[in-house]
Amino acid sequence: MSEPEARASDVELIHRVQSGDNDAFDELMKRYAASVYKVTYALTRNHADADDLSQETFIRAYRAIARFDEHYQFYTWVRRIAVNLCFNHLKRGKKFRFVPLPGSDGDAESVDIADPNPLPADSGLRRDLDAALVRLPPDQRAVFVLRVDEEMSYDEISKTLRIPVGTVMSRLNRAREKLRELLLEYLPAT
Amino acid sequence: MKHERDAIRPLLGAYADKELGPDQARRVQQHLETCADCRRELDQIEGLGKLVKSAQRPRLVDDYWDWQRDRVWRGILSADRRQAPSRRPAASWARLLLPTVSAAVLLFVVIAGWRMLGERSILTSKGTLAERVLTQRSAPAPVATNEEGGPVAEAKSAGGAAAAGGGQTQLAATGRGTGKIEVSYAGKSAAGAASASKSALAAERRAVPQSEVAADKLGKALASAPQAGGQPVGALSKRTGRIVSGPVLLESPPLADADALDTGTVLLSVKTDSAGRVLSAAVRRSSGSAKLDSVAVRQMRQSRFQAAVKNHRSVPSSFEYPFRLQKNQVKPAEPKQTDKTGAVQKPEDKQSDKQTGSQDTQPANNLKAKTNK
Repeated sequence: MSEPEARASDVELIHRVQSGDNDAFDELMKRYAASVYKVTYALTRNHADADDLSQETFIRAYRAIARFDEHYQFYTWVRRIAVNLCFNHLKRGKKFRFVPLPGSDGDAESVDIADPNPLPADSGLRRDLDAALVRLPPDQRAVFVLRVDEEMSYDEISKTLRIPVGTVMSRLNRAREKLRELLLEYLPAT
Repeated sequence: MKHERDAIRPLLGAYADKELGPDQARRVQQHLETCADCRRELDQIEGLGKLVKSAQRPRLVDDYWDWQRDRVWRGILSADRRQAPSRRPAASWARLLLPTVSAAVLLFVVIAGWRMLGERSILTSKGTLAERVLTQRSAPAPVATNEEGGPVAEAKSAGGAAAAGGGQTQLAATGRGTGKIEVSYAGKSAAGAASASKSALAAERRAVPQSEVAADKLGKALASAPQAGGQPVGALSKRTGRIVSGPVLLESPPLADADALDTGTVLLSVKTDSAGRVLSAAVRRSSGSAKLDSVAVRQMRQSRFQAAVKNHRSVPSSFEYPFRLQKNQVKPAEPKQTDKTGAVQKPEDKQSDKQTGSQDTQPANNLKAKTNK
């Protein structure tokens, strides 16, 4: 993704889309759909919202592609759209979703929508992690996810969310502090 | 020492992220050599990062990405897709007005049809999936969707009626004991239809310049795909005079590996929200084959419904959804509906109509009128 060749190829595809070749946009979606889904899932912690928001991200990207700034990589640009959509979605109050509480078995036969084939060894961790992340306020969750899942620098996060670097740091600290409390059992004790 | 620790602690995250300048990083490093608490906190910060990275994400069906791209193209090709109300204030008025106006029109049509054809009249629809998708986006109430032909609605049936078309699952969750509901699901033909739909969309997106996308083009694109069909959308409640409808399955991904599955029937318990999204799908009665159960649940989880409607509003609902796998085709058996919306559960509707006839192979643009007994 980061090699000059691949980047040039993205730019070429973007030029083709800008001149009316929609197959080129289909190709861009093939390349980045999984990455976009990854970030929308990381932010929303449920498949239904991640699915919707990924779809919306590409629709918005298509509509805005005439204004694409070639100084950016396509993924950086499309990720910013995705993050903003997710962030607005979370702020609109759709943050209260059913997430199984740690330790609750629930209906033995029911299957979590976000977990088609739950693996016993991992499902507990993911459920607990989802539950913990959902408890974070959207602004802290966004910063944490962009840093840890997307490995973005503080500067990139600051530009994406349009907040000062100091705010990135303080939100990240608060998010980590809360998550350490919630996920203590999974963390090193000494 | 304590003061130093208070000063260092807020820097530990940035230290772990290698975001500190050299001076601050050196200061943290020196402090860590002497402070066990801060070392433990740093370990936990780093452990948290590893933990998050090690957690699995949802596994998605093989065709998920193709399916997602198709939906993106539908969204792109639809000029009438939903807009943020804050950006288009007029749209919110339209949203309020459209269901009301459409419901009034439908009510008028139902009453007129009833009068004209006697009390056995039935409205038929040639509405396609595309039209339903399009109109659903502009008007929340599914009843408002099939303006060209109107939904399959038997005026005498307060419970709602359903018809299903080729390859596309159709479902109307009506009250217990109300009119028999036709539900069909054909995995193979759904897959074929999906590819037909895909090629229609592909042709369409090639033909349409970016700025010239229009709703009718999507309609045409999908009307040419044979999968769209069925339109169990609404019915008039005899008692309340309100228009109600059950959830309708709009989209379901193609079924993978149908050949490898055992035959059997699995009864699913499904919950949808007011946007028609599947909130949960669980096995209510197993088919006896864990693999089939899992496929049925997965298929349902990836599906999208047109929400149930009560009093012109989309509402959440719960219902049972039977899948039957037979000769390499997944089909639901006769459904047992237990809609909990209250929208369509009318005890006095028990004598309501029955709708019969196999419809799994009917193409969308060739739907025939269903007459009720």
